[in-house]
Amino acid sequence: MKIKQAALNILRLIFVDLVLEVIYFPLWWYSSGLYRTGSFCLKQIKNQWNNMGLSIHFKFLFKPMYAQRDFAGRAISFFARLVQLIFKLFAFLIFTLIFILIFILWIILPLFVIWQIKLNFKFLTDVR
Amino acid sequence: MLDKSIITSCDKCPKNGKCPDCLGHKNYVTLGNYLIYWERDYNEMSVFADQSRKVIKVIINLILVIISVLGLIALFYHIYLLKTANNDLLSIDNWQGIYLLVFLVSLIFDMFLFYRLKRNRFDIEKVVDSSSFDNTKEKLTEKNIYNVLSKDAKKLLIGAWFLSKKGKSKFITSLHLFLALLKYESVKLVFGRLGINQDSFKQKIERLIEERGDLKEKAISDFEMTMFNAYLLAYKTMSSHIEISHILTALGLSNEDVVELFLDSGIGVDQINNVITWVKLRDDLRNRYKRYKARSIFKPKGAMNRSMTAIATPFLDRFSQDMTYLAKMGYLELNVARDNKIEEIYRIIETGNNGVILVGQPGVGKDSVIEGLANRMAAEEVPKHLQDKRLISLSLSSLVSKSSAEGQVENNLLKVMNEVIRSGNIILIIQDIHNIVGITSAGTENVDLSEVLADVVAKYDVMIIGTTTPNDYTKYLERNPLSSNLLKVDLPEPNFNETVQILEAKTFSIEGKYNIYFSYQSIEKIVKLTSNYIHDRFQPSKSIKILEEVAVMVRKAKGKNHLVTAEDVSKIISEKVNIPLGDISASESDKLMNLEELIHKRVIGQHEAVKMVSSALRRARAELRDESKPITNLLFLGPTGVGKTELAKTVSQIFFNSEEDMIRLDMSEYQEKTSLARLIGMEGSEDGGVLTEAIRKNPFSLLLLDEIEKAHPDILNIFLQVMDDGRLTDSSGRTVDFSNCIIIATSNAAAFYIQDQVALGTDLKKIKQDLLQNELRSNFRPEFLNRFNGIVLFKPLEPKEVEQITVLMLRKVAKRLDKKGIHFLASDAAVKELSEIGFSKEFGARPLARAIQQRVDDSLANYLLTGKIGRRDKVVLEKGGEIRIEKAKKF
Repeated sequence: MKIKQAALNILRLIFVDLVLEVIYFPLWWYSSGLYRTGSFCLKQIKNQWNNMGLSIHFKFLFKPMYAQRDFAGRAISFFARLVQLIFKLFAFLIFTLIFILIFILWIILPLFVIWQIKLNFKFLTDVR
Repeated sequence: MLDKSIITSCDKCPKNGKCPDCLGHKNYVTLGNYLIYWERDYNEMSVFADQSRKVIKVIINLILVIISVLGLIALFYHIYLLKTANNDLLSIDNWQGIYLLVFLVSLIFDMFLFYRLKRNRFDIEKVVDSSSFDNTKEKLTEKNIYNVLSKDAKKLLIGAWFLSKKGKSKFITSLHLFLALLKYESVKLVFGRLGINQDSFKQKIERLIEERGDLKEKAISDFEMTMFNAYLLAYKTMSSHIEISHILTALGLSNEDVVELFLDSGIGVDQINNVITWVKLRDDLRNRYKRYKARSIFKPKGAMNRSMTAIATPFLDRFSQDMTYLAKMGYLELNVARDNKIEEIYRIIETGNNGVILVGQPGVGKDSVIEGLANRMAAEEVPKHLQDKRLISLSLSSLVSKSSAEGQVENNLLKVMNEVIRSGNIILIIQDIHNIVGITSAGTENVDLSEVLADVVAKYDVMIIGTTTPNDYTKYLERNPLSSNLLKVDLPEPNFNETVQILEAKTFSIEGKYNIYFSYQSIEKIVKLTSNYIHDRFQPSKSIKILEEVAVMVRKAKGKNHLVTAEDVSKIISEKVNIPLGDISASESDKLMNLEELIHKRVIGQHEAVKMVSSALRRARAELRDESKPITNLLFLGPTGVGKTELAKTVSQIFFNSEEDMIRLDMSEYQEKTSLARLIGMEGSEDGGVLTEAIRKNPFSLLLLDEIEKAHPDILNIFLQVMDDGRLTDSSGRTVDFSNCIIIATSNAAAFYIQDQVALGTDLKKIKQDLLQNELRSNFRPEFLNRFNGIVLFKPLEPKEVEQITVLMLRKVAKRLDKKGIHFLASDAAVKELSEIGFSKEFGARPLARAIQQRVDDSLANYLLTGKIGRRDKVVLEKGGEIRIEKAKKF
């Protein structure tokens, strides 16, 4: 009997934990969770910038390629680098947009879902 | 490292209310502004709660997954319905309905699941680290140790509780914890490496638990101590959680029983720690390899850098190898324990120097440092100056060999350097850079290649890393213009621990290759023995060679999946250096304990001398001697022909297993001061001297200095150092190690005095005292005599001893005849007669050999030549030198 009582106590404790967890869920989503998602996205964007070597491309825009230091070499280099830079920037932009989208999605997803549920619920009750 | 004093047991707790000191926790540790305590009860209830919490957690997660799957199904069903009804998928009006509602609700649960999984990973409590200490806060923050236990550690505690319950203990003790640990794979691995038999170890612990029973309640229990220590260990190693390894080490540190158990198997706490590091090293290396591999994806393969300012270097490529490319492809080994040297190179380059020269003995790891640098460069984990650069190793030999025409070497080097300068992304490695000094092509007006290089380095921004050895650096580079541009970085031999680490890193591939396993003791033994006994090569390469060799040996001798023990290592090194090293076997122990008898089979009389030599040998074998000095230094004094040299020969035979390993120097050849050059080598010559070369080639030998009193006093002076430090530097600067020698000097000085005194019947002790105080003064300086571990007096032989010697010598004759199938005997009277003829007071037993030659050998020779003796005949030596032949029966 005593053991049964204790077991029930334990189960009650576990249940309280669960309730607390549920209450903490929205709080976490917009505090710690938001911060972590934000820094994750930022890290990805930064990595992509480094991996594509974009700072190198900016820094060396006016430096001749292949050590061709004559005028023609410099001119050709400049345009070649410019074209390359434009392409790379474009690719980088798309990548960045994807991660910004993920971040925005994190913010609006719960609100959107709740709003949609509300709408759907109304729709269903209206239909009836 | 840790002790009880760090843990505070509060004794000021008031009866009512919360104690302001310990905040109600009684036992605690303060770290910065944190109060660390242990709070966790283990009983049926708490364990049941734990278990059920775990089960419920899994059940909830499972339910959440099912809901999310159902949601997805609902979504697809909704789309399916729209499709079949031919409704417009893009119209917002169609995106409503019960199935969509189900999906939307499931999304909420999906988010909840994500939160549950992520929150556990991110927001879990961690071990405090010193960077988070806030000294401005007055109030202490409480931290429960239990909260930072890793999953496995928590499981371990529950396992320990079950064990304690099974043994009917009231609470968990450290021994229960220890017993529970044995079930874990990682711990089994550590025990395996330590060569511990786990079954017998387990039995010992179980027995101890029974003996100890429930210990008396102490202010702080052993178990609690262990947990505090584990926390402090995790804090010191900056781990975020308490892992099983921390608990194992903490047990080894804090529990006396556990310490005793380990010591019983010959294992100290340091060794446990080192093995845990070894086990972790494997993961470290694997992670590092993965990280390098991932990061080097963006490193360009060819000559071009990422900024595309470089040029193709076809000419340079003919004479070189691209190290960064090799690193990118994963061909270079990861280096261990050399990080500080790479950092030093960074520092030098960052301060604007043109490069460095790595100076180290062959085999200390110059290549390994360069490979480490290449790996880091490929992963771009280097300072800015080195980023986006290539590491190119220039081969001097191919540069020289491909330049035959006059002036072509200089020309080619300039061409190479031109490419390097124009490309601007190359760091040049020149191995054995001293070889560049003195190279010129044919003709007389050419410039030295090193000067060409120095000129280029000084004028242009070219980075060079050269390697050389200390001798070559002093000889060729110190006064060379190159050294003013390139800074010297000394690369010493790694110390004991570093060498052990390097070997540990190597074991993984060797174990995989040969399917054997190294015990920790074997690794330690390799480093210890190679350091002590192999002197002509350097760490870590000499240890690595042995590591590979012992792996092959064990694989061949024992087969797959066997443990390499320290004994295997001793065996292989013992074979190499030819002295006994391993554990002393029963038969050897017998031999050592009966050394005196053994020696007396060859040396007659001279009991004091034999005893002294025997005990020196026993000390050496039991490794009780000072290892920086020769095994022993002995001076044998006495008249000629009494057995001094014979005893030396016998010692060599017994200890080094051969008489040939005896280096014999007749010191009468070194009567002039100038003969010193013969002994240690001529100044400026590479050849080395008679003494130094002999010992260098054969460091484990007996050095016999015959008639030492005849040598010039200056020559005796060099032996002062040898006997004291066990080292001698030869003329070319090489240090020769004498610490594995037995040095025996013999002297006839004051022989007449000894003879006279013995004849007068003076006590031996008194003779010896007189010798040291008066008679020997004219021959040796007191500090020289002081260096000997023992001065042994050989007394003149007694007639009885001479007889025994005669028997020994006749036995040799018999042995020689035995080979011819002839049996030789001597009658007692003949022996007596021979010993009388062969002995003189002046020359000891020396004339005996001559007498036997004349009386026995000569007559025997005549008989043999005339065919009077044949096979199976019996020859008997009778009194008067007569030889009697007993003919054998003919077949």
